Amino acid sequence: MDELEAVCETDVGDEALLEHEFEARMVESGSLAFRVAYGVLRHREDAEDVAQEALARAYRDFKKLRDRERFRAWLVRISWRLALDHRRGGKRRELREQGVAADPVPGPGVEETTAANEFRAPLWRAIDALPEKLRAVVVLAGIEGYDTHEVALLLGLPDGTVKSRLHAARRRLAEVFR
Amino acid sequence: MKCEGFGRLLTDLALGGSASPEMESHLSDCARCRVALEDQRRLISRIDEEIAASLDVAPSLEFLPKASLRIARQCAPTRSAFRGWLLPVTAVAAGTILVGLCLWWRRSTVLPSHPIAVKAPSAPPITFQPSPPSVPVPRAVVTTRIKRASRVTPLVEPEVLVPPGAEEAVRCLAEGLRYHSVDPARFLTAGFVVVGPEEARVNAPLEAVRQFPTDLNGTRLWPEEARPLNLEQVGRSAS
Repeated sequence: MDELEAVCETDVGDEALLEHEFEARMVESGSLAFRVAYGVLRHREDAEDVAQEALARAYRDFKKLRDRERFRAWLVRISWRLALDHRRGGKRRELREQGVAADPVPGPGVEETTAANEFRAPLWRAIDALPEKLRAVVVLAGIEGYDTHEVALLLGLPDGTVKSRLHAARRRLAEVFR
Repeated sequence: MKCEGFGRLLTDLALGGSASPEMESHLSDCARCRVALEDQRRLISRIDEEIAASLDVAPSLEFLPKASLRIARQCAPTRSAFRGWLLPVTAVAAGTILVGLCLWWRRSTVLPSHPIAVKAPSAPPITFQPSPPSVPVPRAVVTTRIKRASRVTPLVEPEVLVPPGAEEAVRCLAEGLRYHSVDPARFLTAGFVVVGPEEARVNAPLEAVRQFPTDLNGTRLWPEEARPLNLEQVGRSAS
């Protein structure tokens, strides 16, 4: 009986530690999950919904994650996949396209914002037309603070592969606007 | 190198690629290709800036609380349908079946294989019928017929003919007959006389009563003067 109670107490303690660890990682990486989803959907509400779902799924399987240091990469992949599924589902496609024009770049005036949107909309159409492998690299590299090495870590790819994919993606985009 | 060949490698050079000696030589000689290279570099820089600016979006303040709420809602230990309502229903059904099986088993073990008709001793019902108006009944004497079943055959319900308003007295008489404790004074003072077969087991007093004649309807004709007789005296006179 005492052994059983001890095991239960240990389980409860482990559960609490796991909860705390996940909460800390969620605060740390939640924004990244949102940005990844936003890079696919470019609709704030949809991206938040997808990112929250990604966090919920990550929580459910957090015990199974052997290397907790890989949490960010794991969460990015979940969020990316969910965002693609959401996008394929075609939900709120019209709202998302309106959202491209509705999300202004913070700072510049109205005229500059309009000019930026005139460039941004076809840019994202070109990005959406990229193959998924290239698109993932472009989006992750576009998130502030992530260089090629970090993108490689997030995607679980060698640095050279990420560099070549990023180069190919940028080349295609430049060719579109040339 | 000509401008066409340089143009095919322009984008790679703008993306940071290294220029070959031929490309360096062409760039130094061709102002138009230098401008094109600068334009391409600016374009690529703008693409990078636009992508970064597009993704420079922070989630709302409610993002994390909502995420926590979703996690709590989705991942909380929920009661399954079985644990929620199916388990009590199943338990009740199983208990009912178990009790039924126990009762069936008990009956099958206690009772013999062939059924035996058992009739619980119950109080025979009393039917009250008014006396037929066509028969002249003495004013103070009411004839009552009581039939009792034999000991062997199933019980035969007694039949009591009672005039309206005399039910209580007849009920006392019937109880007395049923429990073999007739108090003759009780019903004689109420103005009744008992007539019945041997099975009624009222013994001597009733045997004496039976000697009086009856009319066509079987009603015992009781002489007017006999009304105050005590049944015990009737029994003695009969014996």
